[in-house]
Amino acid sequence: MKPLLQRLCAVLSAMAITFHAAKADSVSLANGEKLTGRIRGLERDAVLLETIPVKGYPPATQRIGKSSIARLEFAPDQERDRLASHGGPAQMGELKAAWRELSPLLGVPDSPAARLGLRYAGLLAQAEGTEAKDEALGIFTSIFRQAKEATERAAAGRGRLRTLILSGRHPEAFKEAESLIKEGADPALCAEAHLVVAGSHAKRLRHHLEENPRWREDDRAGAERERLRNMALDSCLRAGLGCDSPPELAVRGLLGALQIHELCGDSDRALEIARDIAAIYPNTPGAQIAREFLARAQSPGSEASHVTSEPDARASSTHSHDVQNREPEKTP
Amino acid sequence: MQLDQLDAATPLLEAALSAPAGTAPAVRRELLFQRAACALRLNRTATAREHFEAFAGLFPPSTLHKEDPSPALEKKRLQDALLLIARCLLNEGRASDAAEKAAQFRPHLDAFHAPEAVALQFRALIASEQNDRALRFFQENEAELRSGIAPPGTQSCLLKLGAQLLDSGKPREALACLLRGGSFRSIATFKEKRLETFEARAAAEPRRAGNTRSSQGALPESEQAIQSELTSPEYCSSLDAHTRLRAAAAYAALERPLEAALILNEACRLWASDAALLKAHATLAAYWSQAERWNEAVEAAEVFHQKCPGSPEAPNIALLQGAALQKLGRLDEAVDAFRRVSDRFPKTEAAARARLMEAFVQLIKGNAEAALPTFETLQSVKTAADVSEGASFGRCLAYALGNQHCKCLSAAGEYQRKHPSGEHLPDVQFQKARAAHMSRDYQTAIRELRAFLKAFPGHDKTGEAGVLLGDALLSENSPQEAMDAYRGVPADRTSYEQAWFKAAPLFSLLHKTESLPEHLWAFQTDRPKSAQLADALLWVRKASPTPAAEDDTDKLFWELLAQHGDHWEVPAVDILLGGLCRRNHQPPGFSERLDRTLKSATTGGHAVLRIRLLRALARLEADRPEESCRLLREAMALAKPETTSPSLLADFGDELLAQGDAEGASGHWRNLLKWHPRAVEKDRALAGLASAAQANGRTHEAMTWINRFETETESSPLTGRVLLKKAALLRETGSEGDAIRTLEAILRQNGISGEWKSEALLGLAEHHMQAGNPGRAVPYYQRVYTAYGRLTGPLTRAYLRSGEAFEQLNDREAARRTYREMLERDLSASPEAVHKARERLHSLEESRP
Repeated sequence: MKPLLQRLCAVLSAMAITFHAAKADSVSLANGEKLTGRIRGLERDAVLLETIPVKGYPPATQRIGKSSIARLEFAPDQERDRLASHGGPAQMGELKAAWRELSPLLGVPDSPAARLGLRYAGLLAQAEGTEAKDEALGIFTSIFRQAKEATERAAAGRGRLRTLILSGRHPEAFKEAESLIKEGADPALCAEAHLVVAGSHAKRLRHHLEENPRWREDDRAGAERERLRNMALDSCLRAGLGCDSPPELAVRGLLGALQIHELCGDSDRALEIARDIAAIYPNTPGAQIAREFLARAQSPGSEASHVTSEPDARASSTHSHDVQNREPEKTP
Repeated sequence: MQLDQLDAATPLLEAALSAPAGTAPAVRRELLFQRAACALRLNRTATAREHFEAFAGLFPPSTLHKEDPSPALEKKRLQDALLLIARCLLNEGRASDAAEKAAQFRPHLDAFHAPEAVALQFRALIASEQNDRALRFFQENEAELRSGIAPPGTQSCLLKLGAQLLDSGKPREALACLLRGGSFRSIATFKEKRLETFEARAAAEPRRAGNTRSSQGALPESEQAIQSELTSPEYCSSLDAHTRLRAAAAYAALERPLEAALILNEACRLWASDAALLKAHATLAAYWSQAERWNEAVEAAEVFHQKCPGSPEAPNIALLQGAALQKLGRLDEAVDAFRRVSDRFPKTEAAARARLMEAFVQLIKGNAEAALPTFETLQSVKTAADVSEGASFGRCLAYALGNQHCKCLSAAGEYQRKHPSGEHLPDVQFQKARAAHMSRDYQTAIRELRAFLKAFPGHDKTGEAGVLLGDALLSENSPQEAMDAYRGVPADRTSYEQAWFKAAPLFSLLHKTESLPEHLWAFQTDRPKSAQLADALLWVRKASPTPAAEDDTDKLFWELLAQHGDHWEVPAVDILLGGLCRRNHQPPGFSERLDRTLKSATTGGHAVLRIRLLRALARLEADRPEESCRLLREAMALAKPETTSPSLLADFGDELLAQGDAEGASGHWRNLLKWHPRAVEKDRALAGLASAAQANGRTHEAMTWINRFETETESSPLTGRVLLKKAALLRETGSEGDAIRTLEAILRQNGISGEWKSEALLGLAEHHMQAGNPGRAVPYYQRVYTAYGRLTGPLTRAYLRSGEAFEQLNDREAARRTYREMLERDLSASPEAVHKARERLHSLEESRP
């Protein structure tokens, strides 16, 4: 902690200083020399550095052998940052080019490759067709394996899980999620994995209830319902209550738990969860769903207030917000 | 001041400020500011605040407006001063004032000062215990609060606010803080990241002289706070652990033990070594237990015992573990767990309780003998009132279950004397009456049962008590009173049917047969859904002394059909229709009346009744298969599985399978299982599904149905057939050993008829024959023809194969004897087998030397 403390104090002292970002990437060579320009990727065993040798002339690309390089540094680049943070379907071409250019440098510290790749793969995952989704999976896998930043690796893991779900490869997603939970992955990734597992259990629970509408009269079906309900509920709540679960995933987890209670005809517990969401995450879209659910439950004769102990009644007012089985909307 | 010689700097500043007029206003303002900063650094907080207030008072309110032309440095100084005034107020213990002050100037601050003001206002609101306002403030300014890196961090503030909200009885609001803090790890990563950004930028720019934080009046306490927040060795996990502990407590306060347990479970896993969490393992076991997650409760209790062996909580957690094991049905382990409590902590309150619970588990295990000594001991030693009462009750129960009725009677009397308003008084009263009845002391039984029924009219046992009272009165030769007692059993008690059937014969005894229909109608009104209603009607019909009375019961049948024919959940209708249609002689005009009723059911839209009548008519048309099939198909088309009686669904399945439509049959059986899981016809559905799957070569599926049949049906007449099918399937899949075990199981089961047992014997014999051991096969064949001689098919097969076995063993004499014995029997129904036996005997005779 000491170095962190010292650095914090130093920064506090320097906070009044106005900054403007340096614009050039740099390549430090093993011989001590430092070249500046814009890193344009890796070709065979050489890093491509775009420089302007003479002011006013077009840029030239310099090839620098990997063996002679000591360190690569990427300077902040507003244009690239904007692309990585806000690039939409209209920028797919640019993202693709940027990813192709920088993906070989994924393992370099502070490389923007992972951020660009995450954005691009996120858009591919949402696109129509198996090919795009397969490409997204490939990119997420590369980032998950090679990126230096733990948060980027975690985001790639989440992206993989979501893309598998979007591709309908549920069993694969379930298996991967279970192994991520076992490994004790990053909290956000763990939360996503719990949601995948919860989705699978919820699906099985729903199927079980459809097949056993009179489970109360059947000890075997009752016990199985209890087992599936517990598994689904635990997974949802682990995502919803996990230490460091990102709010959007926590809310999805809690909404999932609400649905499980509703599915099982436990409307009191569903209402309690709705109250939790509205109180704990008041400024999220999930809170809006929870408030609507509460409002419906309070109005007599409403759909939500029908969700009682009747075992056959599975009409659910929140089914339109099917959390577990909902295909992710946001790009990871 | 730069040399940190603040005591020396103060008089110099004072002197400069009291110098004669002429000092430039800007310089004077700077001097005032530095004087205040100096006082602050000397920890003279109130003085510093006054000085800062004096400094700020020099500026008109419009100074911080954008359009105000004051120099940037002066604007900066003023904002610093305002922030420091609020901070001083907070340090002086005037948190409420600090919050008001910060709220007042915050909108006028620039982007550099505003985040600090937000953090300050938040802290002040928490410190002044304006909890609701603080929570609202956090939710409105969350992004700004989280972006700050200066301590105390948002996590600490949220923990404090959460704790305050929890203490003030607002657990859900507390959760809104405690679940939003994030762990130290995530915050540290976030701060590290931001620091790196700042460092990178700082490195890119030369530092301007005189623009340091300290020269602006940076607070020494700020750095101390950084120290305490970042360098305390236990800080990280402790803060996280405490936050999660409180979050779990908040859920517990909301009576949500599952959520509490999940939070605590994760915390115990993440920060296993944290001292605060060691004790939490006990709480975790309790939460799991409250959530009725018994497996998890047992596991948490075990972890607790490993981690905190000497904890004062240990006896209670061990008790809880025993109770959880009992709930899981792991009774032997529960006994051990309770015994460990009384052995390890003999002098504690928990020990007596554990012994009591252990004795009750012994009772559940059916081991009353083992339980009695414990109850006796606990009753005589000094323990908590509820333990003593429990032991007294347990003793009474143990005697009752051990059939020691006289002792039970006296134990019950003792309980009544010692605990006149005890919790178990009704049960004890009932056991006492029952014990008297079982001891044939009917007078006492009648007295006690009447007392019980009077004192506890709503008790579960009133039905059983009514039946016992009737029996006792009958034994005392009071049939009228006995009948009244039986008829007094409430309709919602399980003993109702038993009481009805006990009362029915008494009508004849008391020469009141004419009232029997009334008795039957009472049954129909009280328990229309009872399957025994059909038996009751048939019984009354049989008991009717004259044809006229018989007609009366026929009328009852038609009235039952009219009243309940369209109610699928009244099985008596199906049973009666089925019974009447199978009989050779139906009542006169029966078929025509069914037809008429069918027409009116069709017009009236009574679908269920229509299906029943179509099925009945199909049975009556058994001699005309096409017409029967047409009627049945019509019934099937109308049937909705959820409102069709299970017996009809099972019939549909059987009929379709007989017609070779295995898939259609499976559909009906599946619907039966889906919509009528408790139906007695479940065995037919499971057996039928296994047959259909086997017929289609789906061996694995067939085995799944058979396994379900074995676990879910009890004493089914189909068991023998299904187990034989299982043995055959096992043999097909090469599991010869399992097949043998299955066949042996058929022989062991009492409820299986000879038809299937003889087949099992033949199967076992065949196994030995195929294995080349005819000597071992012979005893099985012999058992068939000695034990099941009336079953011609198995008998002839057994004789013939037994003869073959002897021939293989080259024991020609025994073979001859066997064939001869077979031919001596009357086997005219199996001419082919007889012919074969004759041939073999002839051949053996011919080859005789």
